[in-house]
Amino acid sequence: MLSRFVARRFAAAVALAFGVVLVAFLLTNLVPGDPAAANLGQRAIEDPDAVAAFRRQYGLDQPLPVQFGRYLTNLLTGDLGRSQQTNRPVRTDLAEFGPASAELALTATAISLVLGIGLGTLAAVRRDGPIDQALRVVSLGGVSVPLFWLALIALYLLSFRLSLFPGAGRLGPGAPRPPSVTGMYTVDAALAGDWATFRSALGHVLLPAMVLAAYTIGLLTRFTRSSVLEVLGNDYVRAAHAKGLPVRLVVRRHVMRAALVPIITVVGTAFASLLAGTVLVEQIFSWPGIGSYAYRSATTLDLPAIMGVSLFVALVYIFVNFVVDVLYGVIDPRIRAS
Amino acid sequence: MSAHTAAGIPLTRRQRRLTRSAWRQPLAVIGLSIASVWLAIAALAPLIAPTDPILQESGRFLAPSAEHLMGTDGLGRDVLSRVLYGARISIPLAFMLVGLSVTVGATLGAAAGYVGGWLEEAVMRVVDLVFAFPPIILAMAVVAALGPDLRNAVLAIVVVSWPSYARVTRSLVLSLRSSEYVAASRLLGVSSARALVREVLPNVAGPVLVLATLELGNAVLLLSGLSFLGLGAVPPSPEWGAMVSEGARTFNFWWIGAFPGLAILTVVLAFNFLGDSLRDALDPQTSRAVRERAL
Amino acid sequence: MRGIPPKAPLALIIALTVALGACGGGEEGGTDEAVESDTGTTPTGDDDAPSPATEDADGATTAPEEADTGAAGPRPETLVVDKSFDLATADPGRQFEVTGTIVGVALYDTLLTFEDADVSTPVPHLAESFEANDDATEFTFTLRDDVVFADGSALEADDVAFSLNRVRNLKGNGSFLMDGVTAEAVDERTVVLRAEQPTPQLPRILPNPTLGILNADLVRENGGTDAEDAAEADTAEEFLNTQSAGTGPYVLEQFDTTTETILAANPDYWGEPPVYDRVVLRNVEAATQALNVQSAQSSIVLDLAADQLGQLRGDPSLDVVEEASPNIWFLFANANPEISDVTSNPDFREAVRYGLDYDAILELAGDGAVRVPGIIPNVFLGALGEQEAPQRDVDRATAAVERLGGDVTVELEYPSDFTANGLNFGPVAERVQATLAEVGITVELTPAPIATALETYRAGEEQMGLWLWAPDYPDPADYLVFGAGGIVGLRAGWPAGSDPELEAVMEEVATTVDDAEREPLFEEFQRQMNERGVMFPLFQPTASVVARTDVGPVQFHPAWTIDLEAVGR
Repeated sequence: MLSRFVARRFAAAVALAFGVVLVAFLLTNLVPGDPAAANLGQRAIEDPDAVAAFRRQYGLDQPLPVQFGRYLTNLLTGDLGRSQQTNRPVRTDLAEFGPASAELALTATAISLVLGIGLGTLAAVRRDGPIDQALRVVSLGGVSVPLFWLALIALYLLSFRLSLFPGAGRLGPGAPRPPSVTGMYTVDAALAGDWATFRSALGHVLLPAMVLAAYTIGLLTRFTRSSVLEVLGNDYVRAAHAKGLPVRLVVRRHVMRAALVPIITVVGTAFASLLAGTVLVEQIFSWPGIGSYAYRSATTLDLPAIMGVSLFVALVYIFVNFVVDVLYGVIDPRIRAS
Repeated sequence: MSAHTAAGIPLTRRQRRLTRSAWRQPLAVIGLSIASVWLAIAALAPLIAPTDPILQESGRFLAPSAEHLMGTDGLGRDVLSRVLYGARISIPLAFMLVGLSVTVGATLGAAAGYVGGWLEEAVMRVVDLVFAFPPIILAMAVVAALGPDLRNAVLAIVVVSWPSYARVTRSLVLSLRSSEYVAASRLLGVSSARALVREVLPNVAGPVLVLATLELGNAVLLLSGLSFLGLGAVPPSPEWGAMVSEGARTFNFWWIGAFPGLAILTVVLAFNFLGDSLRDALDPQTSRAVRERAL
Repeated sequence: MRGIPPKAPLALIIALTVALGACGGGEEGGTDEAVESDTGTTPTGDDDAPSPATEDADGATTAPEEADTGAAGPRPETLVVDKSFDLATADPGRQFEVTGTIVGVALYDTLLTFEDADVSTPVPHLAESFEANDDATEFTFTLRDDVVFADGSALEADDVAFSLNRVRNLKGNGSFLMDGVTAEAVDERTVVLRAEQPTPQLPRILPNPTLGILNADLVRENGGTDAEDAAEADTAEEFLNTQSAGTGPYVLEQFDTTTETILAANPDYWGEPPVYDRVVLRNVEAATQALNVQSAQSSIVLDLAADQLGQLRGDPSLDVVEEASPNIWFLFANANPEISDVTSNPDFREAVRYGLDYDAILELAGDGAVRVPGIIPNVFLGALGEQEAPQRDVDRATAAVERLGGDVTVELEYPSDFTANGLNFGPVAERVQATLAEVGITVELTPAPIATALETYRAGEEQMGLWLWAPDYPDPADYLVFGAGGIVGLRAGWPAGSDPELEAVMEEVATTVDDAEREPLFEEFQRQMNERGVMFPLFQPTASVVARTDVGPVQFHPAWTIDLEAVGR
């Protein structure tokens, strides 16, 4: 039964990934514009030989179905083609930019988990009091602020004016990268025991992560508050309270577990969208992640990169949904039964 | 400590309503007031703006002063006038955007939930596909194919955002379809189409409207974000996101980007204050559905 | 040929002292620290660490390299240069972008070069002398005998012939430079270049870094070829992206098209060694570059817009270099009636030519920008004098609009996501729109992302276009493309045969060899363009180089933006 469930799930995932790649391919080819124009110089573009050489190099001289078929065949061998923009295999690009985005997304999610759940629970327990009201304004502020604007202000004030954080990028200029294990510089540096690089990498990731977290903190605070409130209204919690257990204990023992289920959904969705790349913030912080890669490849009609990014994002979506489902089961066994 | 505990769990319903009226109202009132002010600005911009928003007659990069309360931009245009006129762009477009997404999403979602079968399967697969697709590439493709223009940016965002409405509506319809009174009216021989219109839709409308209010703020954010990237507003239109992007190129003249950013913040905040208060007014069941899908 | 100038030994000593001084203080000297905290510009990232100083006292760990980019004080050992990347490859024969050129000049030497910023006179470099025949179809070069590659092998004529023929056959972005030109090694130290047609501009083409000389044997071993089918058969690019194979002042340490490319000084360089041992070229958005250089996180930034320079000029720790870039920003009105009845009408051209407020547009391009009277930039042979620039004449323009029936509306397309010299096309287009509105022309802006906009531009489908032309080589011959039938002319719907008088001048100048005779012909070409042409040259924008003063002297280079080897000298 379980294996059939997994098999069905896997089939759905493959179908979804295929659909995403197909849509990416069709969309890019529908757009008027020529990748050769975006990549060849002002002279070469008028030279039929150079244009032909470029098209041959990227397989653009083939009919569309052949191009797509060739892409799929190569995909089976793990070959995602070569990006016209970075002039590297798309797989290499994804292996570099994916972890960069993941590092940012994980840090932002960690910050917002701690603050969001903490503040949300606090708001619920102090329901309707001044603290709750203040938190309400703050959290709504978090989801209302335009992130690109906040990013600019943070960069200007905190990094440039007050020198509290280093500027854009992932490491200091020319700093040696830590030996690559996960591709996340903080983790890799820690693994290598290189604490100087670790500090530098952490310093660089912190500011953009905090900017990104503004939105998710707001979201999580609001969400945790109402989930906790809902559970607080349940009979068994009232009963526990009637037994004379202190609020703190009731919250910790009974409420959090139940409230966690919906919270996980939110975290999952938020994390997936962060990992899928947050174009605006990555652009402003010169963060070489999936978001800026997607943006650059889209504006230059870099087909292999667009398909690679789409596939990557689809896999993230599928994976995160899967993890969320599993966590549901772990936290609330009733769901697994049904 | 004991006072806080009292505010914790075992409040009587009556007490709760009282505290609610004491604390909740201000936020809704504030939200409503800010939103009204912005709506008034949007309506009256030509009357209250000091100058034409595209007039390039003043000096460039003038700091805020009595003459130009928010300074001037790189082309010598009055930033205040541009911010005021910007309300005429962002606010109506946000309504249009949400209206379109709700119409498309709710219709497809309701149909999927009510009819079921292959239609439901097809709609939900498309929903999945859109959720799993990088939005920037979708937006870029729409804009590149149709040309950068705010209306096309709206279209791009509709393409990305209708699925969340479809999901909410479908799950609401599903829960209603199985409910007893719909089943009863079916038994009484009411055609399924009529049952959908008579029984189901009115019950779905409330939560979807709340969701829409909550999404108004997001719509403003998304539109300005696309314009910030140069995929939305076409110059010289005074769109706020495009203005922030111009300010970003010249950090030292902070007023060019700071004020339009503040405009976005206040408008979105007002919509969110309203939406949040509305959501609280809903009963917990639907409110929960809205919450989960609003993401 | 180019002997070591007398001041060189002094510079060398200074460089050595600085290098030693910096080393003596350990990876990051105590003095550095003091200076940094004084000016409050500690490169952060270390800020949340306990304290870098304590750490040093322990002496256990090596400090992060990042700390080397200290504020004012001793010259940094590493030069950190911010550039918004358009980097595709480190293979000289394949690169033809701004960033690639900066890297190319540092890694590869060319037969001829330009001394300092003087791009009018090519001087010998790897060639110690050269001569041309009378009709500029055959050029003979004698190579220096003291040049070696990194693997110890000496530079030979075969290396030169291989490199140049390879560029032609790669059919890449820069292949047109060698169009119709064949290189042949006559003996070990003599190379002959033969052109199918008179090519008087060849000496000005040869300093282009695309024509950098590679170690032929090494590149051949790694998949390189100069054969006819090099476009497909040559697979040396991957190798050249990991290791450079030239004789230049630097060698490639790390190549990355998206984050950082690092160059290290070539220990066996045949010429005067560069001041900086290591150069880190970082990919940074233009908006953040200003912050980086002010807070000493970067030594040099290259993409600042003119509007950002104002405040930096007052900063004593910064050196702001502003000059007119040789890039030409121009408008065109499509001459093809199928595209537009309005723009193809000569009256419309007249209306635009005299309706544009050139000074108001120039204002956007910065203090270093210059109005360009003809289509040829001011630093090149044949540039027109300022007094020949068309002057705004509102009455004349309005009269022309009236002849068109009044109230005309046209579309103007430009690339919305493209920036050059820190300048966006958007504001310039907005100014054009505003100034033409004053004479009764309604301009609708239709920006598009560059891939899409280039497509309509190249297809000749834009009613009006706003674009720029970057010089391929500093010779006026490069600007014949703007004439009727030239590649830019065609994009403006202006095919050959549209203007026989102009085309006669173009034909004559293309085969004239002597610069003294070429100059008046190019001037005549531009005068006729200004009278009847479909192009409206606007300006050469400000090109800026902003450096920390402790870096030493820097210069903007009109052909390759910055010559890294000369920084600090």
